[in-house]
Amino acid sequence: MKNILVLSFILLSAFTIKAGENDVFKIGNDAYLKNNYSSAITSYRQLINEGYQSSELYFNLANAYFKTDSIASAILYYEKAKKLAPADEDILANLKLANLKTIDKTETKEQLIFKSWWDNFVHSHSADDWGIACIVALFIAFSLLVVFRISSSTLSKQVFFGSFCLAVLIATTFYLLAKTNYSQQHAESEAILFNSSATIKSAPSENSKDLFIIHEGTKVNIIEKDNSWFRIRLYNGNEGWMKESAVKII
Amino acid sequence: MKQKLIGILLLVFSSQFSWAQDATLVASTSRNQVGVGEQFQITYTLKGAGSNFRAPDMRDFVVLSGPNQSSSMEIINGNMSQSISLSYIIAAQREGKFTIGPAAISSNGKQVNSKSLVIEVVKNPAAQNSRNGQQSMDGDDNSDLFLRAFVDKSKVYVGEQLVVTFKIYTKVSIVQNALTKAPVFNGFWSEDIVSPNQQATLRPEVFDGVQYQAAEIKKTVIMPQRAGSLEITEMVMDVVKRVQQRSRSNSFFDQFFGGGYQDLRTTVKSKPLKIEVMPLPTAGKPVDFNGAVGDFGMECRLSNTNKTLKTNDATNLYITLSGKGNLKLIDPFKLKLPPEIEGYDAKISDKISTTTAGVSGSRTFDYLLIPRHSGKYELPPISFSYFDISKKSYVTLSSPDFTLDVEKGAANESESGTTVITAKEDVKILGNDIRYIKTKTNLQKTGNDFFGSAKFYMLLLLPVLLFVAFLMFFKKYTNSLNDTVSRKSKKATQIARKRLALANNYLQQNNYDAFYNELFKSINGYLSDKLNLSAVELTKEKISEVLLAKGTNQEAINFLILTLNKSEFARFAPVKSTSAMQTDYADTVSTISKIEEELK
Repeated sequence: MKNILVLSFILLSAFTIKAGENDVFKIGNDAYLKNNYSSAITSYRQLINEGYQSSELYFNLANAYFKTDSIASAILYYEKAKKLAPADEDILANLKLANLKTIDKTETKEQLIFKSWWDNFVHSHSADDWGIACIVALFIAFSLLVVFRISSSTLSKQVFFGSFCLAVLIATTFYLLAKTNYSQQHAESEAILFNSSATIKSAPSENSKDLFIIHEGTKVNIIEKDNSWFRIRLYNGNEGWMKESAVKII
Repeated sequence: MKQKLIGILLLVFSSQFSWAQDATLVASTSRNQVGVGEQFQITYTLKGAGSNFRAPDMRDFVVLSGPNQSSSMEIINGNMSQSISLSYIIAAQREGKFTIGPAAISSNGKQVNSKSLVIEVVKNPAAQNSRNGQQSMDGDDNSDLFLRAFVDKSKVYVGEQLVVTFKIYTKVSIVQNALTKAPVFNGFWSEDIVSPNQQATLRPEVFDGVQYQAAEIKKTVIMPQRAGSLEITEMVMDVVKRVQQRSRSNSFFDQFFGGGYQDLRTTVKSKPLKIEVMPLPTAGKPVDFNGAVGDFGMECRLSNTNKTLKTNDATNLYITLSGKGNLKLIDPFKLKLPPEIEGYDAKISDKISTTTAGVSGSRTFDYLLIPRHSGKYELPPISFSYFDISKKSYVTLSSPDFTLDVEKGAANESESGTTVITAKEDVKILGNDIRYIKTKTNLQKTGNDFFGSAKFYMLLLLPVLLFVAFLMFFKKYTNSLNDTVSRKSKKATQIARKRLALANNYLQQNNYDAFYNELFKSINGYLSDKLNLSAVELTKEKISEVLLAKGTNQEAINFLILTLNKSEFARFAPVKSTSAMQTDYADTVSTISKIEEELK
């Protein structure tokens, strides 16, 4: 009896926690609807600080930043949302609008349609979901192998062994999907400039030659890290070094 | 015709001469010695051709007028000379010896400079200039002559109008006056009612119990544009007054011209004024408030009140604001028109008069509207908000709704049944905004990813481990199963042997039924135990199949089936012949031993 009480309490508290974070999300959305963007930002940021993430959360936060003219922050969170859902049309559309407001020209590479389909598929489920699917498939595969071992007739043995091979193949596919999803999410190869402008140097030192200047909201690819310096590359292939403090990693 | 010819000739000559002649720039001044505040003229005369005149440095003086340009041309004995003079009227601000730097001009690519002018400014101009050299003056003591600036209100709201008046009071007669420094209305919008250019008439007026002759020099309606303490700077005038001479002069000229009077030049100044400007209250400020302050009325009407409108016909919307206040500062309304109606910028016509009571009148905004599509359109009501000074509150005026009933115009109507294909229009984009936020989400905790964790890999390994465990278990199980089977088959031979012995007994006794019964049991029981088959499974087809699978000779199987059939048949045969019993027994024994041999 006591055990049941404790168990139900744990379950209940688990549910209330679950409701809490969605409530905060909703409070943020309501504030956004009332054009109270700064309090929407506060709500969304609270969720992020508590360790939550989702493409929608990043997207909404980016929208709120966009509305308050914090373009660099907006771009950063659009890019974060894009990382979780690379083929979401809303994210791409708003990111395009936000990029129009930056000083530097940004040229986003036109993605091949197959690539976008693939991305869409990879990110249709989270890495964890794919991982679980992989384990389930593996269980099924070995169950089939067990049946194969038990069965005595040649035909059923052939059928079950074939099914086992197929299931292993499926499990491998799930694993690769999970792996791709995971590595794309955890890649730290891109960053957004937050300073109003930054001078790109030819070497990781203040005394080195100035190469070019980029402005707030520009996306850079990080190739290499050396102390507090990043070696970066722009969309047009220009390379140089800059202080890591000027940018925020997506 | 003749004039034209001369003109052309002149041009030809002048161009010739101008390049032959060297240009000179001569500086001259009307006076080298002037008093403080006294006006005088400096002139730069250019002889010859030149361009790009650079004005001299006159930082120590106030430029009252200039540069004023005049040109002359003369031809003496066929030599033409051309001169242009630029003159400035300036006044000195303080005493001392000042140099007016050289002016310069470019001529034929060279720079030609004038000489510098040295001007000596002395303290008391009137005394210096007075023909009898008398020193005593009342230049600064202006009890008999002063300039007063005053406002009708000193504490106003932003946008509220007030009148500032500059008045000169005098007890003596004024010969001449000139404005040297106009007041600056910094932070105000201003409109003159009386300006200094107008002829002022003196009227008797009592001020502070003293009788003066007074005249309004300048009267201006001003409206503060921002809150705070704003200043109206002083007005400075240069006045020549005629005073009676105190001591008789012996000068012939004075007696001749002045007759005992003396003209004195003096400067009068008004005091700067401070205006306290209060901001408009923020409480209850309407959204559409646009800075209008005063007392207004609004009238809106459409030009077509009676007839219905056809597409592409123009109509006018008049919005008339009338009343008192800063009418001139009211901007056109932003109409919220349906997208199907094309609206043009407002034409503004004013009937505004500025009087001592302030700015009043009416301002009309005339909007041209052209409906492009037929239908019934509601124009949203036009609202106008202003701050009422007397009530100290905001007032919002609103027009009634307008309905535009637009019929199809002739251009769009199909004639005599022919189909008119209208040009397709793109969907009108009314605005561009980011896409709206997403309302549904699946929040996930970051940092504790399941994929890639130890738990994940353990779970991944689990089916393999389970399978290995199964294999081990299965092997054990099959081993034990094999054991029972082998035990059974070993026993099967024994049981068969016992049954056969029993059958042999019955054979000796010639007990037909019991013999065949036992014979059948012995072969069936043997096969059942040996092949690990239940009684239900023990059909001839199954037996032959299993035996075949175990690699038994087809011939032996056929013999077995034959024997089985025989013994079965004999059990239920209606005629019981004992003669075959011996051979059947022998067959059974041989078939069992044969199978036994095959299964080994």
